[in-house]
Amino acid sequence: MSDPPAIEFRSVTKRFGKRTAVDGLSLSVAPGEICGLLGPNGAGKTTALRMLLGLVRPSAGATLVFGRPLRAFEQPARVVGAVMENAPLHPGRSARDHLSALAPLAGADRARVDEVLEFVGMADAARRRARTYSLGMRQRVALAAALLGRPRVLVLDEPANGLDPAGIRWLRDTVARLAHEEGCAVLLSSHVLAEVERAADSVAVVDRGRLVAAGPTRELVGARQRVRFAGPDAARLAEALAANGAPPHPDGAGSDGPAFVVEGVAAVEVGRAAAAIGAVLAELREERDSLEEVFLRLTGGDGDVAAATGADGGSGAPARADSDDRTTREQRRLSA
Amino acid sequence: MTTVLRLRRAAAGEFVKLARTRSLTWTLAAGVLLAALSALVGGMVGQSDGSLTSRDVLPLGAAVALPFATAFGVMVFAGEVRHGTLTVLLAAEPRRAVVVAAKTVPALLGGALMGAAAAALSGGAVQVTLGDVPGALFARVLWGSAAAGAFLALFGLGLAALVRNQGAALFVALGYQFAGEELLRFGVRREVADLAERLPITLANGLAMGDPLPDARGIAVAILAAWSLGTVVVGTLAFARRDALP
Repeated sequence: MSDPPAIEFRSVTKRFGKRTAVDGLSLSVAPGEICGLLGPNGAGKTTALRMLLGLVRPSAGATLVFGRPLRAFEQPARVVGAVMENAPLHPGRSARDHLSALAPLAGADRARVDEVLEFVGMADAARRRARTYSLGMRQRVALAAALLGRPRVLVLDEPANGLDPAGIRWLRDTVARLAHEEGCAVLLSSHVLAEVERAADSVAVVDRGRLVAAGPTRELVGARQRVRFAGPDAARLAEALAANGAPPHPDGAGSDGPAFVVEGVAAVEVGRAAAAIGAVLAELREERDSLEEVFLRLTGGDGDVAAATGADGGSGAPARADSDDRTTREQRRLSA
Repeated sequence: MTTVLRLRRAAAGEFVKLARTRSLTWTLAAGVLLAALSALVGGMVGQSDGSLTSRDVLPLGAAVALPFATAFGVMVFAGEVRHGTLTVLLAAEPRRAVVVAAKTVPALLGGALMGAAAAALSGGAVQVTLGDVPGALFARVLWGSAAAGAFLALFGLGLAALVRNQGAALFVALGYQFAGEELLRFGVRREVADLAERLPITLANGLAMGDPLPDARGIAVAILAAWSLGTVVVGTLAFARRDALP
């Protein structure tokens, strides 16, 4: 029997009165994997994370950590470390006080408190009251608190909020090291899509409480690969490609001539076709959708989810029509 | 055994918060200082016109501190809700009953210490101004204040777990303390008058002031403890059923 995933949402639903915040969410994250949880405001990301942490009770389904509910662990803070949205701190207590109060729960001693404060770059400000901290400093303290118990799972809700560019880079490198070198499973929600694209091994997109796409980040952003070419002989090359069954589309004017875009053909193939007919080009490059483009297409309701994820073999099923079966397939892909 | 360990860990964290949160320590200190000040002023009035004796002033000083014990208990829980740190705590210890139980320990201790200190300083102020503090009355006031402070802090904690919002919890707790039982007693029939004498605030005031009580003092403490623990149990059950939302 295989090891259970580090994090698992098993058909989780949460209803607040008549409103369904999370609807049949199934998702799993393996040890050493960084999974980005994306979605528009109100999509259910924070509710999902809170259900995992036991802060919100699911209406149906279960959230599991290494196959067990979090509350079943003897010392949950040694299993899961969490950074909550807006990094709440008591304004009258210092970072050291905040961590010292949590340390017994995480089995951490004073040396460990100092160590994590140093690690997050808050050693100098550790004795100042939290009311004097910037949001970025609060985020660092929250991360320090999450790391106190050397957890095997990290749950980060908007951890980049308030961080400056250097802080965001530090966070990305830290999370990557924890995951890839120490085997920590990381589930993070963020609005900074470029950062998620760089940091996350896999991405799950939720919209209106439902999982609309999930899979490795590379597959998701590379699902709509295209080649752009331009130059004096671009039109002739376009005709040649069209004759071979890959019709390019005009894409404005490029350097020294018209520009075209062709999908479903690798750049090297386009280059070979150009060489075969002796076409002179000034520009030839491969383009992929950014995570932002994928995200907007998935959550804007104007795109082809299946094409983006590859989950439905390009059947063109709209994102909102996805079923539990599809969710299960996507979950399997993530688990695999 | 695991639950006991979890409780010990959580309680250790609560003591750190109690020691390092000024709003909590200042609430306790304010109760003690106001009690001493009240006893001092009462003693000076008695000294100047002879209208008050040490038997009158000592109990009043101690009783003045009791609302601060209730407010302290409310703040031990509701302060965490107010600042959002309760979610951080619950993420580290998801068992709600353990979280509330851990908070009862510093609440009881803080309330008891405040009650005892208020009585002791009041006794000192009365001794300085009027002299001749009756030893038996002082002993009753001292341990009665400690018990009343402890269980009113627990009562406040239970109400806060039930209401959660700090402002609302303070309004409910102090409103009940100052007027609630008076209203409950207003116009009650003779048959239930005895029951009204055993309501928590009436008992706490009686204990702190060394007044005669309807039952033996030990039984009065037990009834007050039952009220407080009952409030905590109801608060915990309500808290356990609710979602911890931002």
